[in-house]
Amino acid sequence: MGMWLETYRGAASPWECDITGHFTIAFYFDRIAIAEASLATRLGLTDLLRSGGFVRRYNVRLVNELHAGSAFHIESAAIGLEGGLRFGHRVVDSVTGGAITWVEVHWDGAAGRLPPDSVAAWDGPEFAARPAPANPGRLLPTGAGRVQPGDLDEFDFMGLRGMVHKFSDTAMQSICAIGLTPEYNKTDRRSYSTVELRLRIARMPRLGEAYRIGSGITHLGNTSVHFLHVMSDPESGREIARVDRYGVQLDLETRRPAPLAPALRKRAERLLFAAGQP
Amino acid sequence: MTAPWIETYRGAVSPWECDVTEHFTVAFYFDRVAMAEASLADALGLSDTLRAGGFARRYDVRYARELRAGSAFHVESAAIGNEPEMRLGHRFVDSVTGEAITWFDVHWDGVAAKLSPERIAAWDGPEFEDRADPQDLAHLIPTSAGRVQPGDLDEFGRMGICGVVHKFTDSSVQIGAAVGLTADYIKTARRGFSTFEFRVRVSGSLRLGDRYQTRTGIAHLGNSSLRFLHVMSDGDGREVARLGQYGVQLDLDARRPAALAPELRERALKLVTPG
Repeated sequence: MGMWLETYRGAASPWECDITGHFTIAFYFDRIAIAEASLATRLGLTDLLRSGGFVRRYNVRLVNELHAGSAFHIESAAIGLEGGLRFGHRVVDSVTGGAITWVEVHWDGAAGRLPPDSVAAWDGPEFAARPAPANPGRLLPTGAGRVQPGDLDEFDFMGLRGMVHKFSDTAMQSICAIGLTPEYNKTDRRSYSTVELRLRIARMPRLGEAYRIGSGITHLGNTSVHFLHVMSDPESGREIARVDRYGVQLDLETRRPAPLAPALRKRAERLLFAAGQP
Repeated sequence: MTAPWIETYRGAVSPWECDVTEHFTVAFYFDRVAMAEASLADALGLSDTLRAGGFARRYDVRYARELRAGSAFHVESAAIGNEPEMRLGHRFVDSVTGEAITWFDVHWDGVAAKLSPERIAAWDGPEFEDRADPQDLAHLIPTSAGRVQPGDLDEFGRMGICGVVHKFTDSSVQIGAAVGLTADYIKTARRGFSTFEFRVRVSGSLRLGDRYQTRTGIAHLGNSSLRFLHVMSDGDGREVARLGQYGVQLDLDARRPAALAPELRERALKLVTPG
């Protein structure tokens, strides 16, 4: 049976927290990139990770929040060999020892080989398949820019942190579009809290490459809103990456899910893009 | 937005991009303008010119409204002149209200380009009056020094405009402290400095590991208004960039301009640079 290895240990810095005081998702990915590269090295897969050429999928379940000053570490292992390679990373509160975030990673069709006894048991959540719209052409423009030096990873591609920062900006654009603006956060004490995120990367862009992001809503519940964000090459229109983000509107006083106000619901309905719709 | 204006950036303000007054820090406006400028250059077929550099760039900036953490905004850009030199316009737009909140009028000195008239947009931003800089720079005081670090570089491998403006922001804090607008004074007296106009001129280029130093003086001292002049030089003393920073001392409670206290004025007078 394979072993879980410690692949990162550190803390959340104040400047890595968002407007609700939580450790920003992009910085989880900053640490996951380190954990992933460390695990790849331990498993003899560094060259495969560096050369890329396969689709990577990151399924993330956020259970408990980290705040400025939180000490945490990451434990990582290979957890499957089916259809490529599958890895698990659990983000652990270094004080309590409790797992607070789970990341299940697929390297679809990756050519790397591992002996079956290197595979560890996965004790994290199962991520059920969720249908998503196939055609991103009707999405609302929510992001545009170019890959900058600070976005790069150790392999000189746009890294996980850089990419997820762009998707975080896109999330702000999307929730502002439905009326969950910073002013509304303050006056009505409402915010959006992500509980699950699915990131699929078709390829990693290079320095100076332009990108565009479009967003839509794939599910609108009483308190829950699911967003789809798609990053693509503005020239070819070809998809670079996509994020499915599942979350709820949060009452910042009670820290409980709260229904959308009618005015916000009306705006959200205009962005609703039915799952499976072409 | 109508052609030939194009969208060159879209995103949001992160909390760590805000300053002590909770406003989006000016250097990060330049972070986004660097992207907008490169994307516009691509669209106009001028990428190689921008990449090669070798000419002075001037950025005249008017800040009309502040952005804060979580604000969604985008940048629209167009060529607004091509003879005798390229002139580019960028407007920062609040994505919720659709209102233009900051204007960039950019000149590429000595760089002309052949563009058809329909690619030249009308400029609906502010006009920037000429402001003469002091000729005698001997009395400027040291306000920053360091070396170009990896995080300062742009996509062309040079110290980027965002990196340059971050250093000028440090210089601004230094000159503010020299006048008496210290972090403690800001807290106790509820005063701050609010910038509404920037005039940046980048005339040289620094690479990773190059040394730089910045010196600063006061080019104008009004009742509540001040204009700082910051000059950045390389390790050999050659000027690489300068910033004219126009702003007012702000009453942080009333959010209105406030006259400098006598002891601050006295200190500021000593830093006024002869014209």
